[in-house]
Amino acid sequence: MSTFHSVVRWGMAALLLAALPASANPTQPPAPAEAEEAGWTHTSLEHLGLDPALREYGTLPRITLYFSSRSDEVLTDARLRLRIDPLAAAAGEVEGLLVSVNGELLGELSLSDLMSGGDVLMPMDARVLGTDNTVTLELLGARLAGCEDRLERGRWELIADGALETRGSPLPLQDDLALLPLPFVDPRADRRATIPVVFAGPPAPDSVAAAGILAAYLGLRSSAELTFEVYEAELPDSRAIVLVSGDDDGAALDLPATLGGTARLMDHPRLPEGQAKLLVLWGDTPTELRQVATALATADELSGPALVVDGDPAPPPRRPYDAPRWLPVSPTVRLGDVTGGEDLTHRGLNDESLEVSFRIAPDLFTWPDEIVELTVEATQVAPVAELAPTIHVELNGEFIDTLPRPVVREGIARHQAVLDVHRSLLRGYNVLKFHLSWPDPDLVCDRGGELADAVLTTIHGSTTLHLGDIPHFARFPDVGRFVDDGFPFTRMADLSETRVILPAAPAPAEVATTLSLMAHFAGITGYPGVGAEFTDVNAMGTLDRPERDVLVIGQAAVLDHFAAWEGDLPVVHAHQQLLVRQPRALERAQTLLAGQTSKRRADRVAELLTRNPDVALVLGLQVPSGEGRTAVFVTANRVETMPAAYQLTGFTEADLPGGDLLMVDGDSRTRFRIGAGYDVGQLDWFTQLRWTSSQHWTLLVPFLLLGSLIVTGVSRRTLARKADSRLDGEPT
Amino acid sequence: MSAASPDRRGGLATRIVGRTGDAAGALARWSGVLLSVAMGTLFVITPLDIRAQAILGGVVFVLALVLNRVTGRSVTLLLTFISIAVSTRYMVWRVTATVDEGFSLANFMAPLLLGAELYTFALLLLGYLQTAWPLRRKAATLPEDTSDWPSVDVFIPSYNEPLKVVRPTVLAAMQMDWPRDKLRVHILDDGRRPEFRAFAASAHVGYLTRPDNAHAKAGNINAALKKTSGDLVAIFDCDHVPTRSFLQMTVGWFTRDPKVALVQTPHHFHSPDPFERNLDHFRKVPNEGSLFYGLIQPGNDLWDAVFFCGSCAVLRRGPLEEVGGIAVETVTEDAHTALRLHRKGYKAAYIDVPQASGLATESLSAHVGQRIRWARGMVQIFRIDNPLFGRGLSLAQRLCYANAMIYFLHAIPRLIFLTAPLAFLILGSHIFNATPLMVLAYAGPHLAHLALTSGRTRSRYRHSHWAQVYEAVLSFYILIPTTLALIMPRLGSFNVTAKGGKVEERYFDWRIAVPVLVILGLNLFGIGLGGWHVMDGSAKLDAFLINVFWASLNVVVLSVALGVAWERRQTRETNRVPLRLPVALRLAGGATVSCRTTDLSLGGVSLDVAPNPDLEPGSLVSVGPLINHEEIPIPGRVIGEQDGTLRVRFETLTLEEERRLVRILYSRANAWTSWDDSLDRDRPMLTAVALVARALAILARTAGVPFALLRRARSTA
Repeated sequence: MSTFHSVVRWGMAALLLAALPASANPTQPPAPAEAEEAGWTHTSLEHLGLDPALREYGTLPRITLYFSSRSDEVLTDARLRLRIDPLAAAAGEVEGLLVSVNGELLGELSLSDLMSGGDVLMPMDARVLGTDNTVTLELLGARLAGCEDRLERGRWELIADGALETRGSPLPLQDDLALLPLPFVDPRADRRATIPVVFAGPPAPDSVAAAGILAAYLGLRSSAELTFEVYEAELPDSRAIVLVSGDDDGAALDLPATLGGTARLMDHPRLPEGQAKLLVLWGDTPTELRQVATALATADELSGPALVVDGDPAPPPRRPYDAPRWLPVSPTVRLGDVTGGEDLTHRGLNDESLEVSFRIAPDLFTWPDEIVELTVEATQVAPVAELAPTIHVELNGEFIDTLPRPVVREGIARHQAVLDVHRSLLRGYNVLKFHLSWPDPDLVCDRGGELADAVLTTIHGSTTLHLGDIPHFARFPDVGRFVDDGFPFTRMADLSETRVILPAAPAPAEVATTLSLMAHFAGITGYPGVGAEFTDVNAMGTLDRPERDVLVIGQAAVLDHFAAWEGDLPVVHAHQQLLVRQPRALERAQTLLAGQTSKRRADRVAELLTRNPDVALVLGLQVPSGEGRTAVFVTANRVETMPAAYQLTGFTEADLPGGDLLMVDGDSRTRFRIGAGYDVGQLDWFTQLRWTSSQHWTLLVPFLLLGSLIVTGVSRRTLARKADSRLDGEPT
Repeated sequence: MSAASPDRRGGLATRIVGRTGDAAGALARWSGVLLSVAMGTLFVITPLDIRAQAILGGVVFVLALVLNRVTGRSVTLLLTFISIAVSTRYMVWRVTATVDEGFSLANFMAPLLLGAELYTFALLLLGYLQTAWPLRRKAATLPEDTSDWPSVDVFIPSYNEPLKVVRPTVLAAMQMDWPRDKLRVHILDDGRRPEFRAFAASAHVGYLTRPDNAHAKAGNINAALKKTSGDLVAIFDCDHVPTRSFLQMTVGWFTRDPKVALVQTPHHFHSPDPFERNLDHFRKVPNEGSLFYGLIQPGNDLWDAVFFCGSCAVLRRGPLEEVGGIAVETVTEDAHTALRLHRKGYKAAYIDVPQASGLATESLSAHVGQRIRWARGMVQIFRIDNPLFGRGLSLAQRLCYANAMIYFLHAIPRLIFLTAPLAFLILGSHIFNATPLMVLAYAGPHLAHLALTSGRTRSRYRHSHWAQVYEAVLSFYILIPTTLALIMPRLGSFNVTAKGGKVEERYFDWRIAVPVLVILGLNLFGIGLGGWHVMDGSAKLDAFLINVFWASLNVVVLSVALGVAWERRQTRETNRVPLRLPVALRLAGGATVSCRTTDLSLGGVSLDVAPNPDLEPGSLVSVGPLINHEEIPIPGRVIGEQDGTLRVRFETLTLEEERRLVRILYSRANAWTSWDDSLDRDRPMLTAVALVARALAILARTAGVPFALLRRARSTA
């Protein structure tokens, strides 16, 4: 690249900077309205595997993204939407971008196209699309000097955002329950899915419970973000789950009369011949409906068009913390335990992130700033010592350390490093990443071509996180643990200590929130919440000394039924508004003793609620007289803003761990603690003493002074007497 | 049945009320103590995150700084308890939160460092106990009738010291204010030298010797005990010249309390020790012994745990003979003897007024040799007659003795502190299982309170940071002797500390300096290598900074320690003592000039005198210092005059003249009481800056040594 060329390029970049239109803001995703226009399914590039780290650090000139079509449809249309950051395009010596689909050239963006920035839409020819497809992006130019196969870092940042948009036509499916979770979600293809759920009549609590169990079943069979559309006595023109109990009028939906306890996969009456399938559950009573859902969700194997249930198929009760997706509580977590004994490996010289995720009980007790050890064992087979990569270790998004440089002997570099990890970094869901990078790209270029395949990096299964012997003990309420881990409800994987309370006549949006939470919980535990008890506010009775944790889901008016709890709720409903409760003097004192100020936080919440009263809220509190039982409210001022579970998770602003209030405003989440917390769990008396003291640590200063003063007074008297007796009355 | 009289009833009632009051008071006190312990325990055991810990540490330290502005024993005690709580909090955190569960070879330094810290913590607690209430004991009144005063044998043991060193001690001992018929001075000559015998005869003092030298000094004294009969025995090393008031200051406690078996006074030195001379801070910075004699011994006195220090002390013959005389099983016979007296229930007292003065060791190697003997001896006692066990001692006595003994095990911990940061800087291992900032948040307050509280009680006797220098120098040499003594306590023999010599020319004592140089070099290398690792991204910056800071402190301490190995010249055979005395200077022509001395020694005098043509070099004069208006003439010869100071060398003196000179120079009761007035005030920050500057200068000087050697080799070639 000539100097002249560079000068021209930078000049253009400067002009671009000056004339950058507002519409080309690269931080904004493509407009959803465009992406979700009729029938189009929108999947972001990030969901397809183009993560921020790759954009920032990736050095390979080609990136391949994978997508599949659903098993129950044929792709008819697909298009790639790219948002180009013109400044990033101008910053590097990029000459163009080639886009291919399944090896066929889809299009080429020239330098001037890239410098124009903005959204580029690239339609695909449906004929080249199959079940499993690849999209390859290749950057032209910008190679490292003398290195045909490497880019300088950061060049991929020119792709600010993007999405794959697809549209398909359905394939006829058999009426076979073995297909589930199809047609509702395809675990292989779907990153997100919206599932219509139809109640033939007004949804009774047990009917919602049945729908919740089915939602949980889908949630545990798929990692896609699930949302639910709830209909009452109305069939949408699409696949759907339909629940019909004895009193409901199934005929109004053109469905057969009740069949007793049955689940059946069948054609949509208005879309016959497999155009759309319904999963219909019949029960003579809502309770039987629930039994059918339970049987379906817990069946080892499903087959045939229908499942007939006779009697209560209640599975054996679960034990605390035995969720299938949680590692058993143990002093050590071996990487091999998570990967099924496999090592993590990478062959080649391109930067790569090896990662492993695991869940542990979310209420393991941690001291603040306590350190645990991560023993990393890794080997690198590298014919040239300098080709051994640098390995950075990250846990839950926090950089832990870089492995020290290994000693390479006979082409094999061995790492055995002990890294310090803050135990407070550990969550219920943990992602441990090993980022491999080659700090000397010139060397990689010189030797990489011939040796790339000979370089093998292995993170061994013997890599171990030493947690120690940790009891279950945590401070509640903790809305963070609730949204991320479903805790404390998921303590029993079948939610058998959960009581869900809904409004007397729940709105579709309220039921949809309930279902998404049930799916979310199942995704966390790996088991459907068949043990949850559902009730409505009118039938909830007394909540004194409950044997279950309470989950209340409903628009803000539902709070009116909990007037007795107003003194403990962080936010109350009054005058048709959600208002932050000002902390009581005792709470202020308690938080002050812990070195915090709840008043300031309450003022901040009030300000946010005034600015946007339509936020969704998650509130936590201890059930009054509940002896450690937790109540969580998922609510919003307007029913339209009742959130789906996935909207509650993600980056959250907070100045403290835990908290009793989560405010969700679109993609922005903020967590607060307004009230004083309470502890759940068992510690030995000494640890309990230390913990209690640490929660009132500002008292330690007066304790120290007072204690020292008393002991000084006593000592002075004793020592003076001793001195007198030693001197036998002689003056000093 | 008999009725008690109203008086008796009233007395009984008073006693009952009194006892009830006492019981209530005791109950209140114990309740208070229990409450304090409970609150202190909470303070100590509560783990906090870094923010809370930083706030807590900061607030408590600011409070301590404010309190420190108030004088008085109560505030000192209060600060002591706060310091103990803060340090205990650090140690609890250190043990419970920063220790790896498993031991790995790569992390071998971690348990070593923890052990060193636990040792230091134990010393800290014992030290606070020991110096909780230093007793400033004064002389006890003697009976009015001098016939009731006890008789005293003065023992001046000598083995190979030159007579010129011993003569002043003998002459001064003879001039102590005590009834002549009750004072007998004896030279205990283990060298069996004729000139000593002759001197004893001419001076009319006892000359005791024995056919062998079994058990060295202890054996010498024990042999003399059998040949003498005084009620008390005063012991002076042969270079420790007593003041005339020595016995009047000390003996009163024997007459007052029959259980008192030992009265010890400080060892004062009027010549600089190698630290003072080679680092050039004689009488500006308290010397190494000041802390022991100025604070620890007065502290011990409260607990009746004063040690016998081998000299400048008086012992009661009866108890001494009861414990079998001076102990001979260890090389620190003095401390061991005191321990035995205490075990028998006898008391010891300490009078914190210098009543004798001696010569410090001249060279660093001699100084180190003496300390090695002390260290080995104390560890020997710890092994063969451990004060923590056995009968006869109170708990406080046991702890005070134990502290004195385990202090000398500081070699290994000190060496660990001097090398600990290298574990990270060179080997890359993390010796704390905690983040550097957490270490700072917990260790910072611990060290800050320690410095503040120690500084408050100790700054008069030891300036900030100097303990590290003293220990750094000695650790390398006492390491093996103390370890051997710990394993084989009966190994080893007594060595005599050489005194009264001189250092002819400046030189670098390589033999002494090599281990210091090695550790110093390793620290410098570690800083460089750590920096390299940070540059190439393989070491964390925060861990690097904290370890470099630590290693830099080590470099400063080791550099200053290295400076002690630069021996400076000391050419005078007799040490001049700064002294302002009125003098009648009589010239050969008969004229008399009034003037004042500026300094005085047994060899000569410097006089502040106006220029006078009769004071030519070589002219004879009579120097007559006026003591209590009495002129004590001493003949001398003028050497020269410079800047108004006339230098006179004394001619060969008669015994009487020498006796007079000793009386003027050493025997005045207040001869040494104002000695420390010239000391600089301890300013921790300034001391730190001064040490850094000194360290840089010494490093620069030492770096030049190889080049100088090279140049010398070339010129020789």
